[in-house]
Amino acid sequence: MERIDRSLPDAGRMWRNPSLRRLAATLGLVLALAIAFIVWYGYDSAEKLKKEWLDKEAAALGNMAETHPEWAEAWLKRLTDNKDISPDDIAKGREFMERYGMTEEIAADWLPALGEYRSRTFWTLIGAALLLASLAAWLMFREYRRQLSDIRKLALAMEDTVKHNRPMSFRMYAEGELGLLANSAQELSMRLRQTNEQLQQDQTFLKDTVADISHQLKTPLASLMIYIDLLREGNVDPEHTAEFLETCRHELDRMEWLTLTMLKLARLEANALELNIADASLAATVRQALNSIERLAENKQVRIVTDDDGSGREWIIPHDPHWLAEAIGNLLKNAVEHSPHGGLVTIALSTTPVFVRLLIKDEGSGIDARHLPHIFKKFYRTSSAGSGVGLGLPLAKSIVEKHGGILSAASIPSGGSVFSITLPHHKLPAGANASKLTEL
Amino acid sequence: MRSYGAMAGRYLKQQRRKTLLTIIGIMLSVALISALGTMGQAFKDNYLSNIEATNGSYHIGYNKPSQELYDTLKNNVLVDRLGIYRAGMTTKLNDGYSVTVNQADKDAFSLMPAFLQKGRLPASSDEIVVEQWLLEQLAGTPKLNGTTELQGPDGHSHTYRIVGLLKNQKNSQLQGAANAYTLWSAASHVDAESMLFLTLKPGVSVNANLEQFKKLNPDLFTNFELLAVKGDSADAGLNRALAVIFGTLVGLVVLSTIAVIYNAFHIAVLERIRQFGLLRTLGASPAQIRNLVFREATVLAAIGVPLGLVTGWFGLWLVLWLMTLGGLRILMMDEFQLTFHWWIMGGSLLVGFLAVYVAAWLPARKASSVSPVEAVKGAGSIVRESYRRLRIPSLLSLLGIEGKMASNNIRRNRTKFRITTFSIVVSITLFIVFHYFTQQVLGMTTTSNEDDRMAFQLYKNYSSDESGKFEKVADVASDEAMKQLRDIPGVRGVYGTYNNLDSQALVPEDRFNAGITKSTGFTAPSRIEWKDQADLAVQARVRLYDEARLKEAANYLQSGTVDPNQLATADGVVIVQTVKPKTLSGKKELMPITRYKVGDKLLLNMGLGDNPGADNVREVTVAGILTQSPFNGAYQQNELTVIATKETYAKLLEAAPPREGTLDFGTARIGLDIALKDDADPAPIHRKLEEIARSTTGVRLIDYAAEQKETRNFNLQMQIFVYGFLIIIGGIGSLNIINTVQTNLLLRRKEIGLLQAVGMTMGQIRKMASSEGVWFGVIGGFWGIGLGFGLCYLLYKQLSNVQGFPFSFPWEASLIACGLALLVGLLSVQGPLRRMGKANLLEELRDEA
Amino acid sequence: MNVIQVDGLSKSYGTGSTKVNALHQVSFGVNQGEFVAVVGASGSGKSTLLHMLGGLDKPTDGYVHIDGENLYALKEKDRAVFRRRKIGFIFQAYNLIPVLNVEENIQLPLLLDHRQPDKAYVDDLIRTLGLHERRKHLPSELSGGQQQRVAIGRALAYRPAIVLADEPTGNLDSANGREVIELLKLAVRQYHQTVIVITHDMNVAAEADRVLNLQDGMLLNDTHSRGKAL
Repeated sequence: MERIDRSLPDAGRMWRNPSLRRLAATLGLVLALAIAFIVWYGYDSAEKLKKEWLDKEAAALGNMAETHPEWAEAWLKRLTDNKDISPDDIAKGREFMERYGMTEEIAADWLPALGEYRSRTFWTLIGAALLLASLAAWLMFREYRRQLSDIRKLALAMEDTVKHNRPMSFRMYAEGELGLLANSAQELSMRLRQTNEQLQQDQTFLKDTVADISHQLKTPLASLMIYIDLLREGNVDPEHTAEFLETCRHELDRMEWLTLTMLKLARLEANALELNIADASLAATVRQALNSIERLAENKQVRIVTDDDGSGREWIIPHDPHWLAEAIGNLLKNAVEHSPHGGLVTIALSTTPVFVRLLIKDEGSGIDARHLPHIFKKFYRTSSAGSGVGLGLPLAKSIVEKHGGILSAASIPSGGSVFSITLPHHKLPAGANASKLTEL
Repeated sequence: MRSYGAMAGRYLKQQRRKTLLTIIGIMLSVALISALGTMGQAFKDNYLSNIEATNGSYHIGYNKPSQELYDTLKNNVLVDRLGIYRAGMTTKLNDGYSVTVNQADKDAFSLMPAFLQKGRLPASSDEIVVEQWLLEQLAGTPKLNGTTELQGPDGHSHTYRIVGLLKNQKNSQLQGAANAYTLWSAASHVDAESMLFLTLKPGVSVNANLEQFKKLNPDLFTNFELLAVKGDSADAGLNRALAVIFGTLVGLVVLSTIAVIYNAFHIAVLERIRQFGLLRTLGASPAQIRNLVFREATVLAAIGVPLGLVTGWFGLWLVLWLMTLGGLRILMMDEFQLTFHWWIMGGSLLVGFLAVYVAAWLPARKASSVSPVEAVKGAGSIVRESYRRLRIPSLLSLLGIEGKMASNNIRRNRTKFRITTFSIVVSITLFIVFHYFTQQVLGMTTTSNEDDRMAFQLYKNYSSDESGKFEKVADVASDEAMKQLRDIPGVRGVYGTYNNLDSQALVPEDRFNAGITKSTGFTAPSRIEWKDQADLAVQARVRLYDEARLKEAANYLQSGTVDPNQLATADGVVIVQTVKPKTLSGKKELMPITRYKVGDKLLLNMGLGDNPGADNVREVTVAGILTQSPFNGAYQQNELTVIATKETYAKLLEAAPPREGTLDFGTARIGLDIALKDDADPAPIHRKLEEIARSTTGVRLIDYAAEQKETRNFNLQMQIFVYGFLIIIGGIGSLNIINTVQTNLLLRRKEIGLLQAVGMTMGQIRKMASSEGVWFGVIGGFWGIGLGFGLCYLLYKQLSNVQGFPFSFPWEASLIACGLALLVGLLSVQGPLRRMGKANLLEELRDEA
Repeated sequence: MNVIQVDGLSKSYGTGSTKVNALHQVSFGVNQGEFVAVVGASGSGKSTLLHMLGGLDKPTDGYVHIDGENLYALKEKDRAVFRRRKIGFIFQAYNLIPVLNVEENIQLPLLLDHRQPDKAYVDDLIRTLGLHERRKHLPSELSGGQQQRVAIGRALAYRPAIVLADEPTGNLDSANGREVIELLKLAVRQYHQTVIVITHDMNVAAEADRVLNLQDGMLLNDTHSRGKAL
């Protein structure tokens, strides 16, 4: 459904992960606290520095005011003068100070106000940084723990399925990447259980099939053995010999047909046979199918009419003509066999925007409601009429389904039955080949 | 489509018209908010400059300073600018005029209220600046850069060069005493005659440091009004009142915005409730649905709010530019820069976005909380009516079957009805409150009467000679001269000024407003016995109005007549009995001092004292009552104003006892007031008046044409702004109504199609929809007026903290608003109905996508 | 494998004299890959049952387990995500968002889950549904049958385990209706999805593997028309 691409998830996608949102909230909280702290600290520190500096100045001024009051006034005025301080003044002052050893290299601690400021700043900021970092660490730790715990629970739950074929005990329905992973894990688990079940069903199926085969073969084999024995004893007159030989041949033919068909079926089921799906003329395929039962129809004097809304077109759809012809052939055979003598079998072709429909109608006795659910089952025969072993319809269904279509049967209320093959113009994407899950 | 959120954009694009209407609504609201903010700030700035112009821009001043004080202050770290001012010697000029040369240093010039009109400030103590009008009166009538001889500060005559001209002050013209300024010379000292002005450094609180400065010299005064406006005084009343008022207004506009958007969104959500339900069945979480609605809101806001800011800014700019083009000086400033206050723009942006989100919140919640099953079932949710409630028959039923159906529709969709009505109510309330507010503020700041139009005044000063005898009093200008003046184009009116008389009105108890003594604390009027009746003596001023003045008075007539003929024959007078005293609570309030009615007899005691003689008391009839005085100050403090014609005045004059040592003016015309039309050219009138003035000695011409023009312009500008605002608000309200009503109708397209199929004609359907529309208007109007009344009263209470006046509800405005709402409602119904009428019936009935 | 399990499901509206029992003690299980039809007269509670299966309406009593998950024990948000990924809805009408075109409507569940749809896959799906020429069209430009096909496409886009259809052919003519049912059957076959269809059309019921009969909110009988092994 979604292509895997190399790009890293963009911001929008990242934001959908609840854990990321919580992380962002955490960082936001820590940032807010940090800013609040800095504001407070800046203010408080400046106030303290101001007070200490003012004290120092007051002390110096106080002294000066007693001895040289006019200097004190000038000093005070200079202090608050915000006007441009000329570099000359600075240079002159520095020169003066240097004479008494007061240069820039002097340690900050020697100026008491500054020294205290420095040490106070150092300790306070470190303390605050440590506190904030530990807060952030604790919150992030909690977040990670939660996420990792979820992952662990998911992993353990998957074990349930892998090892015990049970449904997952822990499920998540969340958005974000972890949610997607959980979803895929849940689907995987379901698919695994389905596959297991399917496997079991297949095993049963195989058992049944083997039983069927042996049963089906047992009878003709038994017959053959009796007849050959009889012939071997030599007490058969030539008339009966010919009859017996005829019967044996008949049984052998039957066994051959049975084996071939079962092989076909099995190979179809096992995906060993590749269908050549290509655009081809459905009309031609139908004609091919018609050929194969021409003789049978003639024998029963059954007419087969093709009704394709008179457009005379070729009905190009993607299909494998060889196999589809066989399927249509089987259906026609069934229709002819159930038709009354001189009856009519109609092949109707129609199309909708989505499907092509091929209907095969006969005028026979119709399909009993009792039989309807079962006619596509292997070896099921509604009556002993017919030469087949009951594999024609299942084979046809299998072929049609391999084409991504549907084969269904229904009774016509006015008498007779209709089989419809519905084929999509365009197969449903990605899934048709995973048909291990197809059932019969 | 990259994400499901793009659906929001699709919805908006699909409903193009509605989206556009909503965006316009947001734009208008944000424009209004930012304009209100900018104007409010500009108003405050202007008020501040006004105060600086009249009082000066200093913070603190000292009256009797010393040199020591000056030096200390110079060194004070908090002081920013410090100026010295010293009043100088007066030089007498002709005609009773005089000029005083004062000294001020550079800082003082910047702090004092003196404004340079031309030229520059003096740079040395040989240069002076004077008021423009004085030039004519100085010896040698010098012009700018000319020289004149005046008495210097040291008492000796000194030649000064006039380097700059100051703006004409009204007061100095009236008194004939002008001020000239020269630079403070280094030789001068700061002594008790001088004054110090100073400002503190920006950011320093004056109030907090006041004690400190008081300690230096107790003779200190502050620029009270300036500090009050800056918020730095003990009384925060003005600022708080301003904040409350503007806050209320902005709040109302915000509320209206929220209403508009809530409306739009609510209906949009209701329209699509089925789709939201469908999305929920597909697995959309409630948060995702809310997200969709909020995205739509964001897009609308992102387009509307910035556009609104731009519109507001440029709209204001355009209006101001047009005004300047029309020759008006904006708010009496030379250069009115629309200051771009970032905080106003930022605040408006924030408020705009917030309003949109708040409005979208409830609909978003509703969209996300809808039960998917209910929504998917759709079928137009048939409301189960509870049979318990009494059915009050609606008035609409009177309108026949259509009315009955309309009433049923409304009853069934109570929520939608309430939403629509809510927005109508808000629109109407907003209109009423805004109208009330602006009118009141205008009334407060600009109590105007005819005095506003006066541009010139002629006035004769009478002086006595050494023996104490006065000159004889004569008319300052003849009737002929007055007629000539009137004929000059641009003159609106020429009015004679006469002397007025002090008198006592003997007011019977039942006609006196006793409440006035209670609220003002004035002493109660004394009782005087007159003809066996005890009356209260109320001060009354008798004025003479000539025909011209009486004609103007007609505009202020409350009851009765001002016809001079009628007044003359029956000894009738016109009175003004509304006064505006300062009450005990410290604010000024309008109230009546007496309660006379037209036809009452008024007793006037022209003498003074408690025992009036028979000759001193005259009786006149109250022929007319005015709401305020048309001239000389709209309201007195505690005086009754009596206006009489010449004849009646003469009679009253006879009753007045002669007063020793004062000049008897009689009924002579002692002056002229000339009113100009707007846009009139004052120059020819000025010339003519000078002619008249020169023809008689002692007559002075006072010219304040420029000032008067500005005041009138200010009023005009305020009116423009006010009505501009009202129009925009009306626009917002109308948009709201149109949007709501139209969407309402479109939502019921299927229902209307069904009605047509059943057999209702388009005309009947129109009648039904129109009656619904009218009912919206009626209910909306009812609640709107009610709410408007309440809010107006609230505002009134706030405003009366600043100035007192009685509460008068704007009935006309309310009715206009309601009428407009009804009209808009009705009209907006017609459009969609016409469209629906043309549409194919079957298409309407078929399920819409 | 049992993918849906319903136990003692009941739903009633109102109280006292106006109480309505929409469903009463309904219990059944559905295996994966079954095509189930639910039939019954109007008011028999079919739609209510469907809504409950889809997690849209809380039952008054009983449980709905889908793939072992108790649907109503989940939080609302989780249930929404569950619905997004595991359940597809098809209604009788008003299936599509009018402002989105065919392609976007089909991709909607994926977009709601913040996934980027694989263009090739969606294109393929649209081709199968016979809507290739109309894939940029809005729902207002489509016929009823085409709209239902879009709805089916949407139900197949994320390959939910369960598809719930409420009278999907109710508004369609017989040809279109048949097409819808056949598409659903294809989906069952190829993707091994489980489809539950509410219908009053007996022809549709005939196509199903299993028919549940509801009457007055109670499950009458549970027939297997095609005899699938339970």
